[in-house]
Amino acid sequence: MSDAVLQAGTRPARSFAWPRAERLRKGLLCAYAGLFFLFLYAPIGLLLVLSVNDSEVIGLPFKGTTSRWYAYVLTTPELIRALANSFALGFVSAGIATAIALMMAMGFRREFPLKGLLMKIVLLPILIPGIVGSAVFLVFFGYLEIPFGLWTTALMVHITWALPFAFLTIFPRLHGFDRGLEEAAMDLGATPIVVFRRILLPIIRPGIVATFLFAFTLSFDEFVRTFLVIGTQRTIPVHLWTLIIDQMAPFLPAVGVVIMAVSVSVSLIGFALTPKEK
Amino acid sequence: MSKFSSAPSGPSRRMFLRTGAGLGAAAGLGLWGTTAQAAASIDVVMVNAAISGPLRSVLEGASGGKINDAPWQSTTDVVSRLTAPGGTGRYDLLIAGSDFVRKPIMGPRPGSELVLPLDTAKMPNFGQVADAFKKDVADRDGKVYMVPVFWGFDSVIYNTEQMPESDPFTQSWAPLFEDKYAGRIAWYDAAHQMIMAAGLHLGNPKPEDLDGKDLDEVVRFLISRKKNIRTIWSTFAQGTNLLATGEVACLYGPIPVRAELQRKGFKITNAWPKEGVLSFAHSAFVPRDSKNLEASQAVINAMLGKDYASQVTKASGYLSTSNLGSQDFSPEERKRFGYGVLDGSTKHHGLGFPPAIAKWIEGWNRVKSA
Repeated sequence: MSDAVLQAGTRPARSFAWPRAERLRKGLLCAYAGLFFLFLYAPIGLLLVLSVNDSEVIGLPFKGTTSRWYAYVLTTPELIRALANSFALGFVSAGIATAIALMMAMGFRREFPLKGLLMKIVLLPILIPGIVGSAVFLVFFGYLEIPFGLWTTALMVHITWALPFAFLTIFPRLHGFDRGLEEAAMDLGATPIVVFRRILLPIIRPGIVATFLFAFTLSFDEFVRTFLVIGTQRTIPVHLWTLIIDQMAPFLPAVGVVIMAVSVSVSLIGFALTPKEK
Repeated sequence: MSKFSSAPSGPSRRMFLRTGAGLGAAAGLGLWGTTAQAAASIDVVMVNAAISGPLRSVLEGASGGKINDAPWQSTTDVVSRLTAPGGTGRYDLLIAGSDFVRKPIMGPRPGSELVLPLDTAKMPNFGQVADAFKKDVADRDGKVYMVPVFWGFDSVIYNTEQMPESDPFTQSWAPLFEDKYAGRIAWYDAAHQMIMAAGLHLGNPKPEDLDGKDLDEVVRFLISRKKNIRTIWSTFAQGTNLLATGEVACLYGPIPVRAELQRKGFKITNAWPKEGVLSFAHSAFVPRDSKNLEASQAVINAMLGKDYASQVTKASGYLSTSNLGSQDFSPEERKRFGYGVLDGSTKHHGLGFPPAIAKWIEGWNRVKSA
């Protein structure tokens, strides 16, 4: 009885105080979220602004709108070549990394000796600092006398870099796959290859596409591991580096926007191809 | 009958063989392409600015083929590339800071050189190397291994709208360290250069020899003056933009920074410090296993020739080590570009390699983290 009275007595007070505290909490939360997104996206917004700033320097004040930096970027052969190299290298390395990751993920569905250790080894490139990895590759390719180039050393470096991420992306898809479907197909006489092509592949295809796109963006943005082993060719991040170390390069924000547009487009394609939860 | 019996039976052995043959052919074509290209081109590592614009066509015309320039990072990076396993066969021509590279490329004794001897008879312009840079020619047993091809200097580079040229204070290294321009100063993120400049400013006649207590004193001086700086810059784009936007009034910088900003019309110039500008030369050498010695020598010769030597200063800010480089400039231009270093009218101090470089780097890291 006394509890009921107490509760009855406190309820109005609580219900009176609660909205104000809740409003304050919500306000603080909104302010925090607003600041969070401001810090996250303001630099990107600034990059967009600077890319059309009609100024010889990268910075403010804003001196009018121009498209000349984009025109420069899209008509300079070295930049186009570097961009094409990045695209080509990204596609090939992502394709190979995805294929290897898929095969490994299928293998890792089974139990075998030293599985845990092998898994750690597969993920090792993520843990090695980029500059250390770069030096290791420089020495490694030197001992093997592999000529530097886009399709030799740079390709290997990019595959090695993208592979663990590709594996981490695709493995959960396969791990959660209903093995009963495969077993049912095999009961009906399908060979392992046929099961893979007719059962597994169609179901995990969105995962493969997402893995490929993720690997592509990793390759497209890669700089540290590529720099020492690409020889005289250039990907777009490597070319950008050469520009900033000996030029004022007022077109740099425009290059940044183009690179960002590629990465965002690839991500959007990935989202579009990912099946929606029902 | 199996539901799947009519389905395609998956990749066959023939398909694997076909794919393998295709990849092999592609790889083969790639290698053939590389080999075919190597005969008509040379691979170089050098400061990108020194092969930019009209300079490239001069050098390619001399070599008779294409010049593939690898991305430049630093002299240290060039040495790393050369001394890494297989490094002596990856490039045909390397150009980097003379003082730093001499020891590693020459090795301790005859026969241990990582570079090929150059045939000076095939480089008629070799005789044009200015007396001031003869010391940068690396030779052993009568053979020449390294030839200085261009040079430059570092100084205080400043905005004349914020720091009047008439201010005598500007004609020293002092603006980088004293309170007068506090808050409008940028240092360069390089242990070697910053400690050399501070050493000169503090009156040390041979700052490259700084070690022990003397080095510690310079480091402590830099730490005490760090309060005056706005930032520490690390890339050319960053340095030029800091000055061009007026964010800083002065900075420690290599002379191409001034050249680029003046070319674009900014009111920027450099100090001629009474303690001396910090000068350095870049020298060319051909790695031991290069297959293109002749073409590389032709490029070195061209860099000392009149076409290249007379254009390099206006195109990049660097100056030619060749006597032919400044022939066409007026006395005023010679002075402004820095050729006064050669005739003694401009004081300079060589950016010599410090024997205690590891301690310098450690000291600079202390400055940055202070």
